Amino acid sequence: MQQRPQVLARASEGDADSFAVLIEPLLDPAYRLAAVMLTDRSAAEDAVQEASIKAWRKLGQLRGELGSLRSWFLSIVANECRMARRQRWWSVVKLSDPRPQETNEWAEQASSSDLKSALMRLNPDERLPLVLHFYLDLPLEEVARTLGVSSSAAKSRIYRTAKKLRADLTLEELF
Amino acid sequence: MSKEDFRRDLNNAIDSITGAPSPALRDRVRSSLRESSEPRRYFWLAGVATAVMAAVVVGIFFVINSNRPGFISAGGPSPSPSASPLTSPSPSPSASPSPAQAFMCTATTVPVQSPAQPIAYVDAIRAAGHPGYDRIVIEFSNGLPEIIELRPQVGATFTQGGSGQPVTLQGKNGLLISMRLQNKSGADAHTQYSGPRDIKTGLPGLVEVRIVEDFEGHVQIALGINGPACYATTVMANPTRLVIDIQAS
Repeated sequence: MQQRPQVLARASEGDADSFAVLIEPLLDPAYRLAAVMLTDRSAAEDAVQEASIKAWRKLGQLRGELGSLRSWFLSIVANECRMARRQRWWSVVKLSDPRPQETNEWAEQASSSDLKSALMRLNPDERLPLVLHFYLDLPLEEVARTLGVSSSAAKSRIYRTAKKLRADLTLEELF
Repeated sequence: MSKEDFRRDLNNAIDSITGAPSPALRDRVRSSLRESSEPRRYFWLAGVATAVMAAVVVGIFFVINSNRPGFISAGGPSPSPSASPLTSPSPSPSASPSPAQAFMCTATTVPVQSPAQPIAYVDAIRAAGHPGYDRIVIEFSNGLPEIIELRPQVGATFTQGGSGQPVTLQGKNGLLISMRLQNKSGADAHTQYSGPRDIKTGLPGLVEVRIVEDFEGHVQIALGINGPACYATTVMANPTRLVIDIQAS
């Protein structure tokens, strides 16, 4: 198996396949992050795809720091999701088969539990630190890098948002 | 409640929201990375080639259209491709500097391989604003239409299919997208369609989208455009969709 630094070096020289090898393990978490932020699975995949291209074009910004790859890539995905939400997309209904619209599907899922409902009521940027820390298991420092804030600010955001979901949570219980 | 309880409940909730990514995502990403790597590797060569091609084609373009009152000029930044194209038209690049896609201002037929399925359905339509262009995406299920034609025009007045009455959209210019959704099987695709037929997008360039014909598998979608009716098209896979970028004025 090739060493990741070598793969990164080849990617930096312009080898797209090497870059694909580097980010493939991150596509699943990136998709889940995007799906939570956009609440639309198809849009989430589009966002990950766009983010991958942008990451490829901006690979120089990583400055060869493989340890930062995950947070760097996820921050690009998060930005792509923000852009996707800012754009005023409208969608015309399904026509050809009885497959339910995803938004309805999501709404039904959301109503199935209080926590889901509460989660869906949060704005996407509030969901982001929760997903990064609790769902994708990123340590606080990496959450902070992804959000572009200090570790204490990241911790504060996680706590504040978690309290919106479970009012009885204390800081000690969370960290 | 402990951290672990909270984490478990939260993860269950998120799991049920996200589901798993489609198996095709990995290939989509890999394919789009390969495509986007070509200009990166051969950027200078593509730039020179594009400049030469643009000069030649613009010259031809002006000669052909010099007597045409409805001629609309081209030029502007290029959109970025976002997925693996199945096919793409062979546009006559106008003054656009883009090596990957060029805006064109003349009628074109999007080359489509023979559809495997007898009927393609319009599945969804989306539009969004981007820097330098507005994008409309027409998503199909059951494969691509048999024929896709695009015809730009001066003014935003189109003919309503069936009644033959003129219908005027918002905007100064227009683009008519004509699609034959079915092949010669005789099946009628139009009855599947039940979505909104006239949508004001609120976008700066692409201001209105209206279905002006939907009969026996022939669908025409008219676009009202503020600015030149210059566009770039791409056909993409997973899901199958026609992407049309309208150049910003």
